[in-house]
Amino acid sequence: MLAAVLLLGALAFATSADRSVTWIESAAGSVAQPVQTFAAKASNAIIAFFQRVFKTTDADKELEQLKVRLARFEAAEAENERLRAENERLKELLNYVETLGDYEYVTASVIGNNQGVWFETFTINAGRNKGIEKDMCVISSAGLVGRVSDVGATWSKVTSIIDVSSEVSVMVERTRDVGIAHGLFSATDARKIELYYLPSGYDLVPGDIVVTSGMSDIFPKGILVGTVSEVERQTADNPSLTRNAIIVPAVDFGHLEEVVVIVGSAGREN
Amino acid sequence: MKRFSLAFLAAAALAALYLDSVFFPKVNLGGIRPDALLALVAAMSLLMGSTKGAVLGLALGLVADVLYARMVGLTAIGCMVCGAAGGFFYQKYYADNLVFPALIAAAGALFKEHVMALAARLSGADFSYFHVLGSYILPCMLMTVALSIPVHALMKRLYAGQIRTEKRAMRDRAETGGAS
Repeated sequence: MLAAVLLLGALAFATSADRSVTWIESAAGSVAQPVQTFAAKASNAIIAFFQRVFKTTDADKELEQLKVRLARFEAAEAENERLRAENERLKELLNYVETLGDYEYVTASVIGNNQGVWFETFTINAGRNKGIEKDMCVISSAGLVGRVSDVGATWSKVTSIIDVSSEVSVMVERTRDVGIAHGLFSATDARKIELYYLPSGYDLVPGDIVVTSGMSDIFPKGILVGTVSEVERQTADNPSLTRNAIIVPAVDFGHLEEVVVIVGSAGREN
Repeated sequence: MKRFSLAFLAAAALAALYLDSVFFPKVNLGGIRPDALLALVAAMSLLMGSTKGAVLGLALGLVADVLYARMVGLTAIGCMVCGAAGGFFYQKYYADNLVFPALIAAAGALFKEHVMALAARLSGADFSYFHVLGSYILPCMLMTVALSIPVHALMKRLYAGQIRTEKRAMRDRAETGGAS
């Protein structure tokens, strides 16, 4: 048992670094991916249905026949609402990616999330079959989501920018100061991002917009990262403080359903 | 193990994976959610024994890690140890006692969350241990315990035939050993 635990610990340590996905993992993910895609979409429909049912407090509970008919109509309406919302999200996504100009992109659905709150990764239903490679940028209509960390045949894992291991080179849009955005751990769902390494004497106020700086090979320039919510400075009382600000991410990671993976620049061979 | 029992176990495993990866990330109380996979392993380990429970935990944990996790092996460690520990009480308690599944699920959830917390800390997460213990680990443990009780009751019913067969085999072995 101890040997097994040590072996698994070594495996976890080995897989924590950048690596290529093995064929076993790729095959397992490819087998599970269609089921996961269906389960994710069905889950959204079920949750929407129950939300509608609990909201209908005005329904006449005494009429049994109407309750049955009402439940049936609400199921159909929930499905229509889900399709309408999906259509709106995809339209919004399409409008957003058209503003990216010269980039080629692939849209994908989120089909699974990592358990717990310790790591912020999720799985999408697009992989090498759609031209996705490791370290490609992932965005949504709201802004920057993260980067591709593992790629299988028909699936990929994405490490979001709110993950504790994530670091993104960013720029404050107003002052053009460049810094590093680092995922901030929180046990609740309200995950935020820390901003570090701004030039000394930085001029930052809550509400400042933060975008990608374009200085890395992964994230194109100008993608919205978030908004400054708190500014922190070193003081005599707190000389060891290194963090410059807290950023609220633009993307609502708790309700992410579709994403876009930037696979290359238009006209450039990958 | 009979094919019928294996089919039920596979269906339960798929349901647990679905709940953990799709349902609970969307439906939770401020991030607090039960661990369906661990609840299933805790329940099954009491019905299968240490070795089978550990193997089940290892298999399900590895599948969850390969499909969803950044680091492969962490969930497997937690589920495997829970499966092995739960199997210690195999055929040592009354069948209707639900305290043992709850205790195994509680201990397993505590162990697994501490393994994940350690991995997160080593990855660069900065948090207060006691704050996370009180606001996340213990509430999640309680929810996992609450989930493990009906899971155990359901799986015990589905495996009733298998349990009877194993008890009969144990009795026969004891009688044969006594006679010789």
